[in-house]
Amino acid sequence: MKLPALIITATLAMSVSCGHKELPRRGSSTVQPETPGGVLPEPERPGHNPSDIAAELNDPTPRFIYGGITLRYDDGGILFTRYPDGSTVITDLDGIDRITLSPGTMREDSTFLSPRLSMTHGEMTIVSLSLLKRDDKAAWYCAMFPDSASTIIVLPTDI
Amino acid sequence: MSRFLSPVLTAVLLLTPGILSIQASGAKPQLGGKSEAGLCRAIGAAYRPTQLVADPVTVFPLTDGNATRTALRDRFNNRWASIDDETLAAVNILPASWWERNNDIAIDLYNTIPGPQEVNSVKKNYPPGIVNAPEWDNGVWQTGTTTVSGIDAAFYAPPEKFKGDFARAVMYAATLYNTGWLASIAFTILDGTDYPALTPYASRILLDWHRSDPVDDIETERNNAVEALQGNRNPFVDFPDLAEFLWGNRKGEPYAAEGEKMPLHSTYRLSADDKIHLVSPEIPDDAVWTVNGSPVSTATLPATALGTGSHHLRFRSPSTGTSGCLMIKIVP
Repeated sequence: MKLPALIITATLAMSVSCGHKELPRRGSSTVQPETPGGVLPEPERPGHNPSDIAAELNDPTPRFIYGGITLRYDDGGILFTRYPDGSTVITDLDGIDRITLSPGTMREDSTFLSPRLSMTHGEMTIVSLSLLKRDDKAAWYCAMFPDSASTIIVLPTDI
Repeated sequence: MSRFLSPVLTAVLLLTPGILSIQASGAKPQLGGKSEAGLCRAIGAAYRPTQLVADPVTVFPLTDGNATRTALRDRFNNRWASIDDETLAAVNILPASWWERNNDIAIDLYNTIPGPQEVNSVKKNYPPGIVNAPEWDNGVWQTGTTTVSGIDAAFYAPPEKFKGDFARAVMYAATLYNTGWLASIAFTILDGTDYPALTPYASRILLDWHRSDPVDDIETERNNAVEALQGNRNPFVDFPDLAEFLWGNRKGEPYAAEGEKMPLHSTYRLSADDKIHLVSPEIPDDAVWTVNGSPVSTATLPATALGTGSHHLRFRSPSTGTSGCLMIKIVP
């Protein structure tokens, strides 16, 4: 049965750590300032809040936000081009930023074999790429990077 | 032995990568449709040298020599200096000492010209500018001070005959070398940002020089010669109107080279003059378009036909199999 909105449960569980903000390194310590009432509580790690993920998955706006680059379809002048090999190029027509995502072959668990991502100034190393959700408007991907940072990339499916 | 490279040796070196190779990565950004900061960044990315000559003095006969390569153009004395003149040295238009962690500007030939050694000691690390109170003057160029924003600042005034050349060299440096650690004296000319990169004082005087001393054959021939050595050109020599789009009377307008259609970009004005050309270097020429879901058969749409607001463009290319989408905005 074809579902209008396909949510991959397994990868959603994995995506709890996936948000558009870069996560702190694993094992890193944060020096807490002392206050008259004691030590301040550790700030919540961005992206670990389920509501953050839900908000990302509820927004079908094609976008790429990572590494100081923000490319959103609704900013205007952001071109999303899909090539026959399945890769997508996001180009800022007003500037110089350019992102190329080549997912490669998708496995049964919705992760991808040998995904490739390049940004304006060169190839990026990604640890994993997984498909979180897909509908008739957009596809949501979670890209994980070596430093435990991650981002959700949303690409249009109706082109 | 001459400190200048023989033509044969120069040819060998040009064919041998690694004089001081610079890796170029990615596609060369296009300039059309871009404005202000985006245009400045695109110029900076598109016109970088692919290699630099470690000792510019050795190639001055090629960039600044006469037809017989027996003399070098000495702009600071308005003369031809013998190629055997050992007092000639490399002179930076913008002092390389301004950049603490980037040596490329010191040997970039668009910032480096021949001149007597004394020029470097006389002009020190002063920026080019207007000199109201001269302290040194040889009748061709001078150093001294001018009050800028209430502060007496030291400048050197380039030779009158070449002020446009110097202006376009500074514009080149401002767009390519506008980041990095700058000495405090640099901030009379450079603002330390990606854009506008030039201070208001600098943009005002440089535009004045740029307009009053247009590009001539000397500068064009030098552009050609440097390209053969560095693999890049000074875009402000080839496309002088770029300066107007960045800092001058066309600031804020999207750039299109003369005679070329304005490529797709983000924002258009609701006016009879503003037209949406469904073209871009990023999109195949045979693209078939829909606008807001409706097919369009023309390659150009007047902005007034769509009205203010956001508009959704989609294309398919039969020949390449590519497809895509973007949104544009039309503002009052």
